[in-house]
Amino acid sequence: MSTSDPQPGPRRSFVGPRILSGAILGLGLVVLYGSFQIRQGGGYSAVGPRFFPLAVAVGLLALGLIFLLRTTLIPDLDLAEHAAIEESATHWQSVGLLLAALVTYAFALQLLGYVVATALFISVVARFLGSRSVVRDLVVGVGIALVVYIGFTRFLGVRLPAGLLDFIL
Amino acid sequence: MDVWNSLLNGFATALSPEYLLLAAIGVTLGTLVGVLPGIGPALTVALLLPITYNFDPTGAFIMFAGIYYGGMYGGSTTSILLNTPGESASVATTIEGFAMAKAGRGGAALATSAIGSFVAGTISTIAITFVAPAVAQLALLFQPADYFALTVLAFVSVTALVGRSLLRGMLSLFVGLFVGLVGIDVLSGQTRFTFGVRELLDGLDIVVVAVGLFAVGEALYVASRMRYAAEEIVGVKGSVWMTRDEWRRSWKPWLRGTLIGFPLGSLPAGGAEIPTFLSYSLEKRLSKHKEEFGRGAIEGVAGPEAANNAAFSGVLVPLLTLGIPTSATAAILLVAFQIYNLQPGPLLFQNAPDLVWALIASLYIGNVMLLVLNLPLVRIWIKLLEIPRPLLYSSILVFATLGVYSLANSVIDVLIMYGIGLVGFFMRRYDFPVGPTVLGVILVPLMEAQFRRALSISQGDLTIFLRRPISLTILLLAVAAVLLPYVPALIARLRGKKRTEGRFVFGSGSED
Amino acid sequence: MYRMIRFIALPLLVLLLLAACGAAGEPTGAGGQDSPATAASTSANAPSAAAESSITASAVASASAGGAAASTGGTTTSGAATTAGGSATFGTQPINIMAPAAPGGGWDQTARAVQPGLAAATNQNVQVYNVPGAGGTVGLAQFVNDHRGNPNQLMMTGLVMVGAIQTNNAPVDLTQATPLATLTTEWEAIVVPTNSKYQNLKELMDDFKANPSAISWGGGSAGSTDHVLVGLLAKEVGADPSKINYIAHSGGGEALSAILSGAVSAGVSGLNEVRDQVQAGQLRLLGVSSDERLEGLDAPTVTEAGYNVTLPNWRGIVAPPDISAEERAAMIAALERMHETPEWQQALEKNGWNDFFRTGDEFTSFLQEETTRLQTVLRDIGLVQ
Repeated sequence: MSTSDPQPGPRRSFVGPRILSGAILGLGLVVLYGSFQIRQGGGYSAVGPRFFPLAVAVGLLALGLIFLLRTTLIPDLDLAEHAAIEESATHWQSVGLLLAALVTYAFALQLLGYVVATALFISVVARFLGSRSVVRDLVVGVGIALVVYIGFTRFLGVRLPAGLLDFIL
Repeated sequence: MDVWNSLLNGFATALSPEYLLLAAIGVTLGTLVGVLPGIGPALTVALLLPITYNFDPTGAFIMFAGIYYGGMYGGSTTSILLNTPGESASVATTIEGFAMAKAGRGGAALATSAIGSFVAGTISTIAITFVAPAVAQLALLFQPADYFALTVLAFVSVTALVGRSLLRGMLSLFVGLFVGLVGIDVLSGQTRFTFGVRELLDGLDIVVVAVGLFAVGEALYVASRMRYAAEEIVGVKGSVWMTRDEWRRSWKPWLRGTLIGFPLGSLPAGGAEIPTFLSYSLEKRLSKHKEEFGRGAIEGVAGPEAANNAAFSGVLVPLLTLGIPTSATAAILLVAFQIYNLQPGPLLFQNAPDLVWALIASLYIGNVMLLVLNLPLVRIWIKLLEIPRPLLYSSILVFATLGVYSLANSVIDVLIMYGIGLVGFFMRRYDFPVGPTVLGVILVPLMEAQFRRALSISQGDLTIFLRRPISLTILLLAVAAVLLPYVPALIARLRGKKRTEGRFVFGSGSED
Repeated sequence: MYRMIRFIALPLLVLLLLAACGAAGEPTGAGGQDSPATAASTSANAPSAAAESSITASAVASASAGGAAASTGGTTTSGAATTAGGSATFGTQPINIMAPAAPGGGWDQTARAVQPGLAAATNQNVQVYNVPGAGGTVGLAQFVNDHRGNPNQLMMTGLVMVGAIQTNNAPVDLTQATPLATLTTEWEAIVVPTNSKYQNLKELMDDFKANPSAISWGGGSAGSTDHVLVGLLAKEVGADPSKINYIAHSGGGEALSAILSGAVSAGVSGLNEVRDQVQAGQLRLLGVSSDERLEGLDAPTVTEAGYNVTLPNWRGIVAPPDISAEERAAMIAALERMHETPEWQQALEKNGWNDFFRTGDEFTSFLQEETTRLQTVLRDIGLVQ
């Protein structure tokens, strides 16, 4: 990892870990709130459905607080260095594009059908990930999409949306 | 000997050329579908099961056995090489297996996994043949309190999974615990943390969590670094095969994994995940190469894989003798039985002895067939790593989506998996281990249900966990497992103090 | 380039093998005595040659029963599909049956048992698919929302779903679907391990009445048929239903192992799930929830033991909302023919299901009664507010 790092050195960053500890505390609060939303069930039970959720909420909040301390008052230098290396090596645009592609793919499955959506997804994502051979990606994409579609629907009984190609497949 | 003859008869049935061909086809198909990233053995078996209906019962079971072993091995292959386990029982293997692959020892990891499965399969086939009825009777002694103790013991194995920071490991675990609580509470029928989403009512399928955390998380992570880091192609360092040293380090974990897997798998509330995690933590604890754990220790692959395989044979014990399916695969196998108008249970050995023994024999044949077909193929699987990264990762995402989508034809599940993938991405970024999360998701439903059941049965009396001998023994084991690593240090410290009193020079030296 | 070819070659190989398997499998399947191929494959094609005449006849019946405009359809004998084509979209397209549970459960098995008979009765391809989740309510919501007005979509339903709709407070309920027919019932059994101190139902119920929470009942999920039976019994003996100590389990197997291990005082389960254990002497059958004593089973009914409780665990089949009266009648007619097929009768016998065939409005009013009955019990138990 460090060999490919463009900026080696003992740089430290606490921005990410602090945001993360905030997120964990947020999750803890959500779990705490959610635990009180659970209706105590009917009938006899020694321990109700709220007990474990509350324990998990308390655990998350306590550990989240400790984690917050480790990024502020009692800093964890090891983590900070790791975070700095990661942050300088992250290409956020790729992550964003890939996520957008994934979500689009999930919806396109229904709209365009499995084959079209998958073929497009493979070639587009391969390009996001740095591939420059458009034709190769498209051929592979169409190939995988067709083989999976036919194999899974005809032979394995999985229902995949046919979409645009409804009239042929 | 009666049992022996029955088994031999089973083999005689299963060894005809026609059935051997079916076994070979089953193994091949199972491997090829199972090797798709994100598609685990249970799904492979469910997908391919209808094909077996074309044959007579014996043929169907033989093919089933082939498909199962093929699917399991195919799943391990992608877990090890691409860090994309398709089910929770492969997660423990993935941790060291992927590290080995990154270090150029992917071939050895695949080999130790295949041979480990074979060893475990052989031993547990013998065990099923001779001790199944006795084991089934013993298993019936387990009550909710005892199962709760067992989950406590399994939780101890989290200490082996936490990685570099206990705090971050515990946070990962608690996130998993939360995820495991989502859905309708089995005991009271109340909904928890579903936030009005219908698809969450039955909780998050462990497949969605495992595939999201591993496959999608890994793909996002790779994507984030692709522009900066040069493609790190993992070549094979040294021999493709296991070295003499790797053999020496593998055989004990194989045996220990089998010893953990078979009995735990045969408990009516066992399953295959707990034994794999227990085996992993045991191997880490016993290993002479502790420093290698996390960076590719072969023991961490050999043990869990053997445990996984032995647990599957163990799962057959309650299925065949009590009619109780305890894993996803066993549930599918139960369906297969019912299609042939057979109800597994206490009468199965009386009603259809030929079929049962043929099944046991064919499971073994499937196991052997796997070894025969797949060991030579290790070289080819390794080539998976040579696929250009952009294509490889876009295909992994496609197959992960396919696997999750085919669980329930639900786009919501797919979106949830992507969301979990994003969480997995951030966990990788900030060095949070993902193993504890998966362990939490698996264990919390079991632990909570058994804890509350035990207390309802005892009407709130907490001492039930200490009054039952089985429960007490397991709890003591768990306590020992937590404390044992500190014992040498403790003794050393005690001795050290005594020495400080005696010899000042040495004492002051060791204080620093 | 070479790499690329290899990349595609793998999945292709899968396909080839699958195809080879399918082809190789067929003769073996046909040769088999009970031909599991047709009974079980996910897509049962209507048999063409052997049963030709009967299919044609039945398809004609379907067209006329459907009140289709093409009255001449009755005389057409060329092909069943074209005949049925007279009535709108019904009978011209493959039929899909949703089993709103995981493979292997009661709904899944019933759907797969309906499959071959319905394929023969409609001369259509019939497919079964699973949408598991939350006692069938996940499947129900999907079914009602996605297939409005489509007569070729069917879904399995039953008592469990009626209960789950109420306990889960489901946004969609069964009144939104179009009831077609009930198909089967299964009876519930009350069992104890053979070494239990309870020799008969009365002893158990006496202790239950004296201290309800001291008797722990092992059974399926909260609000399931098993749970409902305990609730009904509690009301019958005058025990406080909110004090029932019911230990819910997520699957039949899990509950069975709890009962066998003696962890719970008594167990409630589908009769078929414990039949073998009773026969093998591991469990003692204290009572069956049927209205009269079952043939070949040496156990009293709950009513015989002095408690006026019967509880059939019934299963049926529904269509989506907003299908026309003609389409509904046509599908009911098809189900009636399915009911007569030997495949269906065999399936009943093989699975130990009781024939419980009520169609159309009879089903609708039955459904209403069951909904009210369950609502009361579930409220008493405290699962529904």
